[in-house]
Amino acid sequence: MRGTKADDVVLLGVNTVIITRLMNSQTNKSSRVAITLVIVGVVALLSGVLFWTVIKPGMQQQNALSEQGLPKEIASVYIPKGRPLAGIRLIDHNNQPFTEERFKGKWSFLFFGFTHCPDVCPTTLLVMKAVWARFPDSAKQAPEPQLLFVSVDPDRDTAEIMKSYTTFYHPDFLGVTAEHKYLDILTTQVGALYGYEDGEREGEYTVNHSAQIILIDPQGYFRGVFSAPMNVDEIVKTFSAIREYHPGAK
Amino acid sequence: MSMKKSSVVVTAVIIAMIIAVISMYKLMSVQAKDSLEITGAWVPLSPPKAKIMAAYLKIKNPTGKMIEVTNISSPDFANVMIHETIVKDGVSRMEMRSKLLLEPGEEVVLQRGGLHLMLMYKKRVLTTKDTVILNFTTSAGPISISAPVKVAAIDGE
Repeated sequence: MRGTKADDVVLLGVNTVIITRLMNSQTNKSSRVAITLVIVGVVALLSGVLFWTVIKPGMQQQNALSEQGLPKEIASVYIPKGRPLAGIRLIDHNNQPFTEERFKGKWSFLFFGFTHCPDVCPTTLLVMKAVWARFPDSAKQAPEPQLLFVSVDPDRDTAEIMKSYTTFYHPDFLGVTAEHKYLDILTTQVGALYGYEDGEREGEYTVNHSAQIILIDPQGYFRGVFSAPMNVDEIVKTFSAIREYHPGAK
Repeated sequence: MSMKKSSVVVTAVIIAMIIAVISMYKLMSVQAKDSLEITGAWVPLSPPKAKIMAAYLKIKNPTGKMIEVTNISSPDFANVMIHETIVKDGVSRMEMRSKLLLEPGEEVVLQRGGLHLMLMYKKRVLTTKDTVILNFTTSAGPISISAPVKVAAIDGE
């Protein structure tokens, strides 16, 4: 689409050249050729103008709503038909139980990772720290957002280690984890994946994990997925739009 | 006549000096371009209890021959590995590279979300007052650099 606009500018330039040539031309043959070229140029220019003034705005209006009737800015993230989370049995980094009740009344962002992760996890937490700093005051009012760093490496990530790791990035971020059977209850409900390289869980090992951020609404429903790569601006804008759009609580 | 003679001498001296400077410069640059150039190295500050850290940097091969990085070590860590973060189908995983091969003129950038050095099991707490020594073993000889520990941030803070 952007290319078309540039083409129009080029066309204008070509037309100027053609008109100059027409005025300079002496022979009949070359002036006929030139006139033809001018006509072609004018038609092309007019169709360009028509496209940009009449057709394009119409197309944009149609695109403002996606196929599901969602505002376009939230369509790639928001899940209209959410699912209530159930059977959640996690432990937070203060050694307190974390059940689905603690999703209620808050917008929850969930990121799955592990503290032995040197690149993606710090980067995502830094992105979310920047997102937190950018939230307008209205976004911090109830139902306020909470960020959960879900460790998928419970064998190594004790509450103490998680607390030190998560609060380093933001004092309000909360680390949670659980035994694998309870972790799996959460991950299967939100479509998150994790696994150990070569099935290894002894000594040095790394954990593969979903790179996306899961959004849970204040009613405790799985409500959205922010896909990698994460962009601070996009998350802030999309989340504000979701709060506006989401029925029930803002 | 003597004016002409002296100007010839002056010209000759100037030309000789230019040649000397050029050859010295060339000699120096040839010397500097015998091995890899590692620049912009830094280590993001990480939580005090995090055992594993990362290092980001640029490696350039300014020479005319292929150079291989075969090993990296640091006195502050038990082990240093070359890793690449790969996000495929929404899942992030890390792939280890046993070595890094640089073609003549090639530059490899180790940055967030891609190739990076994984610094395993730190031996002391590192703050922003510290620098991490990284020792590279390459086919063109050893190189040591120091990477400052810096607070990491993403735009918007």
